[in-house]
Amino acid sequence: MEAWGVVLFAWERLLFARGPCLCPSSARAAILRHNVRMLLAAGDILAMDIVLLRMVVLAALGGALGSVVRDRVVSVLRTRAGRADLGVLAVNLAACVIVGLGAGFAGADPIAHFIVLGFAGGLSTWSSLAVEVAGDIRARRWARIALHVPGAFALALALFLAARALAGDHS
Amino acid sequence: MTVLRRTMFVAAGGASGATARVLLATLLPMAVDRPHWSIAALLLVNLSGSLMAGFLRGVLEAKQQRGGARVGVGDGGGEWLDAFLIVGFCGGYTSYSGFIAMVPAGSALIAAATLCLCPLVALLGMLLGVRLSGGYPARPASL
Repeated sequence: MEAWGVVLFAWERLLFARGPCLCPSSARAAILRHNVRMLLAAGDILAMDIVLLRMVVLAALGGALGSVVRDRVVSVLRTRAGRADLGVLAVNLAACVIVGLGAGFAGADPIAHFIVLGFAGGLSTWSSLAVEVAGDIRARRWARIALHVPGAFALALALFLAARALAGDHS
Repeated sequence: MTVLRRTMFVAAGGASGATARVLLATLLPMAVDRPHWSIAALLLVNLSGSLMAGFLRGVLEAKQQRGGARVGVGDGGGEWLDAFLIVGFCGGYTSYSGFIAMVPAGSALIAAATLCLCPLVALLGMLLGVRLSGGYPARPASL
């Protein structure tokens, strides 16, 4: 049950960290004092929690930015070329290149959390791709299914490995 | 819906989706001291996100079939469903790049399962969404 504790704690910190902005300054000071007491009492557990909180917040910000870029790209391709599926393919491939280039960062690096976990994760999508392929299955467009399932997978994997090699990470 | 309003909906959905993904696929396996479970966790995230997006798209399709005018506002109803939930939340929640990055380290079985099951689950969700919202002519909307 410790796992749920950590997840709930991360959520609570997320809400708590945003909460004080709405409080009057005296309440804010009381919350700060409480936080410091907690920090002293809990030692490194809270320090770890702050790292987790930062990771979640950075991933959320990156996810928001990535999602907006994805929506714009897909919308433009849908209106200009009438092919939303190509937009989904383009953002997924771009995200795989970004993740490959980001492999050079250490796992706990905040920049990696923002770019790899947040931005690339929000930029790429499985749900839109799955919905496009589901539409292709219903319309029996086999060529498009071949492009988007094995084709996109092979392309994305090749681009990811090439970008990772370029970034100098061979792990 | 204006571009600005749509962008705000997509950003809010993307942020919450990415948070949910990080909590389930990154922090939860870390918290139970089994980091290698994150590959299976991401499979579950992608499957549930695909199912949800398919279902919502089906609901939207049924709504459009019945005529969006029923909702009252011209472009209301379906637009925020598409921007916030389908494009924002489900799109930010599922991740193709995370899946590809895990393929070299993970098992081929999970990669194959993700590739085959995600579209099928989305199709299932779509048919379910259309059916449950009474979109097919065979099933009247009043039922």
